[in-house]
Amino acid sequence: MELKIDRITKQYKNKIAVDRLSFTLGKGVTGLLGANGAGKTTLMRMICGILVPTSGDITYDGASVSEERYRDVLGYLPQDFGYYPEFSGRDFLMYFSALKGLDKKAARARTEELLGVVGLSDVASKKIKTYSGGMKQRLGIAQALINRPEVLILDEPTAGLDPKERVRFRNLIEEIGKNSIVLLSTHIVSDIEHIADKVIMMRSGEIIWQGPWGEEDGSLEDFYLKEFGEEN
Amino acid sequence: MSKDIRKMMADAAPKPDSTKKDAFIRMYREKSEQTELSVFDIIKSQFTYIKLPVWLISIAALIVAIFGINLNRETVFVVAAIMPFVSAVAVFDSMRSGMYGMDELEGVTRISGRGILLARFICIGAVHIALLLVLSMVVGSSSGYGYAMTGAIITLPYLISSIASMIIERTEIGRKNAFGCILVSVMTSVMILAIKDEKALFAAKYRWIWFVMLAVFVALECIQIKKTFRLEEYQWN
Repeated sequence: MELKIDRITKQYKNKIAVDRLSFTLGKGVTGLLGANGAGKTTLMRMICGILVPTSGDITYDGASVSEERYRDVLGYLPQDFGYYPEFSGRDFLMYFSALKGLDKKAARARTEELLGVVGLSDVASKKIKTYSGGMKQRLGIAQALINRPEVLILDEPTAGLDPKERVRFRNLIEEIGKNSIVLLSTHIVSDIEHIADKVIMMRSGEIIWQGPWGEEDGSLEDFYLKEFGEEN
Repeated sequence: MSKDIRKMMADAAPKPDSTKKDAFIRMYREKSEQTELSVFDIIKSQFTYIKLPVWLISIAALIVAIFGINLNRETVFVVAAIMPFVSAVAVFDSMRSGMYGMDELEGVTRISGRGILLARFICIGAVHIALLLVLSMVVGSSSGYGYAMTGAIITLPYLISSIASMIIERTEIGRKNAFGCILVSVMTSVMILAIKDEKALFAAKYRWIWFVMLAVFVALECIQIKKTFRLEEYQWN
């Protein structure tokens, strides 16, 4: 289980959003830290195969990110996502189950399981437009988990969650990270401080620091503030 | 089952480690003969999600054609005036992922964004080709223009509206609302109603022009479909 990012660059006209990034991810949770505009979302979109890098390669166990084999094991929660207005929470998950290749029976079972995991069983039949921001975010998280992903990419997943939900979500991610590759982007250090096995810090499209982060390394927040002092 | 037996069983076989469940299911999935999704699987996944108005407006065109069968020439133009709406609604529905912000989520599924668009186009396109053929037969039988010319008069507004709607839907403004598609439909519809009394345009000696135009617009439709399939990159955020 290895996600290899090899010298990827993304250039938009005269702006370099991501500049020759290389790193390898294995099982566990990796926190991607950086201020707004650091290139985190662009990097994640390239890892998901939504954006094509200007140069460089991204492979998962030898498979290109554009292959169906890779998308089959990929879970993704974008920073912003929408929904069809006629969808209820259950419809939303059933729809993505179908797109991820689950048959109807498996889709129904997985949908109910995930609705329970994210605490939306009671409101599953209600239209998504009646959901609060936190509920929508939890639904998005459930959607990312439908296919039991081996690679889970989460772009600012805790946005809109209340403190209790954040803790619950952190525990869930920590659990998933034991058997999958999880890449979680955030600019809130506390979201990853206690669960990330590895931390990558980005600024202006470049990695400014990467490595494992343990309790013995001290406060990640202090280190982060020191590195990004001018921007925060 | 009594509580005691249930407890005994639970003690004898403790709950498996939940963290290994996903890995186990994934391993099983790999071992089972899971093949790549076929075009049929992809179409099946989308068919039920095509919105009702797409089918309703097609049925409306058919009803008008059947009930107007005795109105001769007029029916051709009434049906032709409905066709821009039939195609605009279809294009709008096929490309609604972008409008509702679902494109990113759909793009990372096994089927992929292109697969979803392809499935929607195939579902709606197949039904519409059948619809255009049936309308040409039903209306053409009493229009006085013959089947081929009737088909051309009905199909051209459909293609004009479809091409313009695809161009609009690929723009940032078009993606955000349905207004562009509606405007294009209204304009095409008005245009066809405006020329219907210009009988010289439909005279037998000029009919070849209609067929040439039909061929040109079919080619343009293919070009626009191809352009639509080229996934657009997101703008710098």
